[in-house]
Amino acid sequence: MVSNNLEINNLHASVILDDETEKGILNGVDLTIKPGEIHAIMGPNGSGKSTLAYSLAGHPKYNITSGSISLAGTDLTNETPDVRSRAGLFLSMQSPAEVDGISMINFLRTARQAHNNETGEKLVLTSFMKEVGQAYSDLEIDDSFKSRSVNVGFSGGEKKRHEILQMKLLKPKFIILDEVDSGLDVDALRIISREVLSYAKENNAGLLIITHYNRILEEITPDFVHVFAEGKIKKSGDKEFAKELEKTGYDNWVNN
Amino acid sequence: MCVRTTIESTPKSDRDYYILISDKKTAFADIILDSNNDDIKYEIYDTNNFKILINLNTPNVNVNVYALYLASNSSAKLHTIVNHNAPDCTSFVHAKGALTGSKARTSWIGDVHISPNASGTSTNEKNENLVLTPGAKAVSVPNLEILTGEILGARHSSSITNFDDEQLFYLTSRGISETAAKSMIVGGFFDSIISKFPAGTAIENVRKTIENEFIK
Repeated sequence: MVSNNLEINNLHASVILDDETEKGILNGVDLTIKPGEIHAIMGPNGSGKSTLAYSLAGHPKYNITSGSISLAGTDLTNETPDVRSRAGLFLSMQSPAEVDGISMINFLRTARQAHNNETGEKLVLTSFMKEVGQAYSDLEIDDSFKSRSVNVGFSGGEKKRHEILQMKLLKPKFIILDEVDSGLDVDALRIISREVLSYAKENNAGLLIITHYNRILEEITPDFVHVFAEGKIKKSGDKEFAKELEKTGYDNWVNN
Repeated sequence: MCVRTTIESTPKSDRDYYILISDKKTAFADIILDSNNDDIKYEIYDTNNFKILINLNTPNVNVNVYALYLASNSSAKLHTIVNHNAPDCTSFVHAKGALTGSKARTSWIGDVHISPNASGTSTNEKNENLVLTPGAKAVSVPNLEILTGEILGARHSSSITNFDDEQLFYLTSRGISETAAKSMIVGGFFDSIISKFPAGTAIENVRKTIENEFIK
């Protein structure tokens, strides 16, 4: 039987620096996430946890040197970001790019069309527009944003809400939230958490929350918590482990 | 080739000029418009070196110049000159250039001259360049000469940016193929100019040129 898991096996990755030298960041990450499970990765700045997020999504800056990533039995290790997305992986980014001259609605429609092409499902514009309207209202965003250029001039919170809006419209199997709680006010954090949680529940989607703080984990209770340092998972535990980490800090997990 | 269309003058003058420079052939065009030729539109093709001189000799004229220049492993040059010779005129020059191929070179020179009797002048020059290939070089030179203290405003801005890998990653991370994403980004860059062009002009040719030369 083919598993529906997201499997990360002994993943090693390096970053390609501006002078074209490489620096190892991930040093053997092993993690399996089953559909419907919520995992949190916590760790200090510079531990490589965001690199893990971007390596999973296929950012060209990161070079996977060994190990593998697979989703529902499909090997994604060497695939481009668009293939990974269409396979059902979604990364909510900490600082999504601004793209001038492309309206949000055009972007959403093109992205959804690409996903539908994969499944062979026809995109009916009228019902898609309804879905978009619903998503805007769920995320409590004014739908005049639809006609604005992608992320251009959006506040931090507006960008994050649009990330989750995209999640809802692209219907991923696995969701990675990279530092989704940074720079969010209490209301926005509550709305985003509510929407992610209800989507994950309804669709039995796997969730990987990458965070420095405990804030988001008070809204979304993880099944598993992993402490990440020096490019790998150092220890795993349950939700109580997150509270312990909050108290004791990350120092115990970092050498020197 | 230069196509000119003359339309009837209106009492209060809003004049728009559209310039396209999109080829590798060497050519030179120098067009002088005086204020008797209100409301003239130009479309220029098949030239990679173009100069436009606009003399604002009558009061209360608003002029907009929208220009695109594309260099695909070749050179493209644009020189815009706006002479404010009469009071209470406004001018806006918006020029966008794109370069692809390591041998691509572009230059934009934008001269605005505000004469001593051109009080109440408002002028804005904006130049943006998108470099798609390392090694391609864009030069941007705004020149502003102001000979009266009685102006409303004089602004200019220039930018030269490299094609943004982060934008490409963002769009592809949402399932859009790299080719389609590149097309969207480059198209988005040109959109603010192209959307200004009137229908039935050489827009389709421009879109094709962009598609063929800049999105591969």
